[in-house]
Amino acid sequence: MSDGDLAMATGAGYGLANDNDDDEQENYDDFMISDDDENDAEIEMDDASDVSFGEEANEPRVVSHPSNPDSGLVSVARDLVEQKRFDEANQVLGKAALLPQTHATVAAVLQIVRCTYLMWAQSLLSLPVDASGFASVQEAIDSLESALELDPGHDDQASFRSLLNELVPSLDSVFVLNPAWKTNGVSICCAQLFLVRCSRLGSRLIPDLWRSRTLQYEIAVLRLSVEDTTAAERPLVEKLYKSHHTSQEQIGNLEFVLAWFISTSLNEFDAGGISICEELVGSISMLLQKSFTRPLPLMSILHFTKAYLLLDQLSTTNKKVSLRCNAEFWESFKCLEELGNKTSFRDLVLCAFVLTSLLQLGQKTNLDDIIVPFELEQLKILDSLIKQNLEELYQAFVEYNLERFALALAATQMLSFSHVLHPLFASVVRLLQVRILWHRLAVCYSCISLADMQRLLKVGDLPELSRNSVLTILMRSIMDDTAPVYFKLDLTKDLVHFGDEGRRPLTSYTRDTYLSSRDPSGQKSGLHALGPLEASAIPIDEWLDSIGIFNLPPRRLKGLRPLKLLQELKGAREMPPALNDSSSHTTTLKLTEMAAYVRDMLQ
Amino acid sequence: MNSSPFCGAVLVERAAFNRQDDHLAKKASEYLASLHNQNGAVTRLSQQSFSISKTTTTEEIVVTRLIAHDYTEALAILENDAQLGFSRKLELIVQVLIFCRKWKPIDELCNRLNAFAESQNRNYTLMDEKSHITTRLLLCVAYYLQGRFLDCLKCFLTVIEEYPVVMEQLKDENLDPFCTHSELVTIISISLIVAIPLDNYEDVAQLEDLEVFYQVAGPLTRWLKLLIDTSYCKFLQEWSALDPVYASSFFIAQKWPAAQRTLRDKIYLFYLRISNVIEIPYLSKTLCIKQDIVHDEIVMLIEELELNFVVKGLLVQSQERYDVQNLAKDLFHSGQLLQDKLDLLKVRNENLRSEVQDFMKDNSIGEQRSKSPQINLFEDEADNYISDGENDRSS
Repeated sequence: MSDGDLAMATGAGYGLANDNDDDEQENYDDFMISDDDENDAEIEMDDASDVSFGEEANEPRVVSHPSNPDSGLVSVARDLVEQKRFDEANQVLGKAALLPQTHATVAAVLQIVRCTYLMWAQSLLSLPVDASGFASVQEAIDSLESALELDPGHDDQASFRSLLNELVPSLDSVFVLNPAWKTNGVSICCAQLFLVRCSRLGSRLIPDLWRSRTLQYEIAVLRLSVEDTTAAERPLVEKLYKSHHTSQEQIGNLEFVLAWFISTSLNEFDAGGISICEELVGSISMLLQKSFTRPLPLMSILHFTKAYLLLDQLSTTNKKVSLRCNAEFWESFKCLEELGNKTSFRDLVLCAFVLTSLLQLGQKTNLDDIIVPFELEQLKILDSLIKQNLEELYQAFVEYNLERFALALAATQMLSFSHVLHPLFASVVRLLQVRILWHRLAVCYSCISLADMQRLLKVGDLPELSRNSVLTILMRSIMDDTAPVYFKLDLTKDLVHFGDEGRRPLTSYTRDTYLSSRDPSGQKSGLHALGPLEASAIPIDEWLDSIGIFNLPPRRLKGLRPLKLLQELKGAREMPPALNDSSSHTTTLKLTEMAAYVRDMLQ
Repeated sequence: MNSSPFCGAVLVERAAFNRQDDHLAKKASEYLASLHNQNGAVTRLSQQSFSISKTTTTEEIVVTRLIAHDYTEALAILENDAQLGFSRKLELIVQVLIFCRKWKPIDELCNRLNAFAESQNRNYTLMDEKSHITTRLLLCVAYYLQGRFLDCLKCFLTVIEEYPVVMEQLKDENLDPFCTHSELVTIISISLIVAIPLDNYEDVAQLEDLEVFYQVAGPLTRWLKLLIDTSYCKFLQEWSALDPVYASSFFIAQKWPAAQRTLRDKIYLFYLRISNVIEIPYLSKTLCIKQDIVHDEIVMLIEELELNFVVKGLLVQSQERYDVQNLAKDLFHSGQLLQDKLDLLKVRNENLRSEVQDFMKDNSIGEQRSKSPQINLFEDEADNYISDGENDRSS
């Protein structure tokens, strides 16, 4: 299997695991071989030493040592193992081990360990693992130990490492990406037993790898339990997180830890690891910058985590966050698609992507320039129930159909893990309510009570919007300048009046006329006395500008540098707002002042 | 911010400001005592030989003047000093000016600072650069103390645009500062909240360049979030809860009530902007401010700004202050006044005419009669006329 097939193999393995739950043996092979491949490929990157066995025959860089007379026997045995003809392989290897050259003996004994282990592991069908059959494996391990003592070779480490990687592959993100991993409980337990039993060899030859692998499998074994073992796993995870390894192993370990945290959140176990997840994202990204590979499984959970960590900051108005989440979910989804992953995690990411796409609509009514997610190639080819639900949800949303939306929403929330997206669902529902308020209610009613609005904006079985929330929508729309219809509130009767009739300036003055009427000398140095002491007062123009009575706040401040933004604000303070409807008020004000003057003279 | 040689003087001011804080008072008096011993030694020595006095630095002399509130002298000493570099001198002068609350010279110094920065082409020595940054941060404080919140914020943003690392540095306290970093961060946070319009908080909260500052200024991030969510009640409560802390800080306290009040005004105004009618108890409940305070402050706001609102009992109602109807009424009233005046004049004229006519009539009759009684009659008439006139005036 070449590197390129790796993704296929991993994906196929996961796919199969889903479909053929009964066929455990096949699962085992897919599960083990695919991961093994991945690790071999990784090891080759930083380990150039020639490994004369334990590698797949078709790997070009590994050639059997020409001067090695036993290579014939060992490779015959390897083929036999591949064909699961363990007994015959054992016989061949027995012969090879008897050859006089000690380095040949080591190679053969390693193969014996592999062969006996696979034979034992495949004979087991159910938990708990029966350790009594392990005796032959143990024997092989012991003889490997003594063989190595006789002939400590320079490639022992590499040989043992690749054996370990084959029999006990790194678990990486299996918790998230392959929910069927638990059906491989037997092999997980076998692997863990193997790790324990070869502890002496492991801790001597490759202590870091052996220790981290042992931790991974201990955690996995704990997790096989139906109960919540998060508390017991946590210290092991932290140990694993804190251990330092070579970069390749470290990426695998960090991936494992990240997947562990994500899967605990998905399973509603509280691991409280938000800050650790942030750290993890940071350190994995750093490592990836130095690495040449971008393993798809890792990338998919990495992108997901980046968006997941932002979910709490989501709001209907924070475009930046929702845009970033959208992009990250999309990246994650593309990775999963490429992997051929069809798990509920993929559905979750798809759902998150569609929901964040809805948030991109904001208050837009013209949908022509919007990319509908379902027109994307990757989504078009999908055919699943969740996609249908999401499409229905999307349509109901853009058609302002609350009833259909509520149904589709309920159907979508049936998705396992959907609780993870709770803030996202809440934002989408809120956005729809805002859109209906402005695009449907405000244009139809000239006056409506807040209570009626609450009733009309109710989504399915969800609790009604509170009176306060309706007010908040109205107030925030004014502040974001997204209120398309002018409104005034009558807060004594809880009524909203829509329409321009209510448009009236707060004051008839402009900043200049006000200041000159306050201070006849025309100076703006007057202080606005707010306290008994002059020291606690502030300049009157500062007060006026701060409370913003005469100047409408500037609107287009998005994406500016801080200083530029402030200059805009300062400019808006000094620039009088355009006089439109207030000009007649100004005339009235002037006439009134004149009239007052005349009257005073008369009196 | 650099350490300040005047931090002892600040300590004394702080103690004087917070008279009930015994710990502060003790520290201040300890400081003064140590200063006294030192100075005593210096004066005694300097009497013996003038050369010793040179070991006393300019800063040390200035400190004594500052404690004595002799700011003119302190400034003069600093101005005439030849050893401190330009930047350091400026830094110290700004501190003295903040002590004596002389704001105009500070504005001038700000110009000099800019000119110096230009002339150096921003190639400072490290010391100069530190002084430059410190001076600018001190200017923020000076602006805040004048209640110029927007300028305070702008000054800070100018600094961090050039030296973003300053935001990080504000996380940790410096030794012997003029004002502490946490005070400075609070000052800038308050200024930001006051100066930025309600409508633009979200724009400001999303500024990427300020993310580090938001991390340093924890409360600010929370304030912004509450304000963006229109949770004014929670926000105002949070500010009230900070009252005891901020009111005891020598620097923050000076404009803290004004900042609070301005923000309340800003929020009242927002409610007036979106509503036609609103009840004072409702506002009081929604904003968690006592009803009588809401009443007084709303009335003041409406009167001060001559808003188109009236307060009728507990109701605040939108009403044109200067509409055409009122103007017509006013003009009608003026017309009435004018008419009254005219009527009065008419009556007077009428009276006068009839008097004159009567007089002339009497006169012509009298000519035909004997002379002596005629004179008496005339005098009587004149008396009558005068008393009539008086009645007119008094009516």
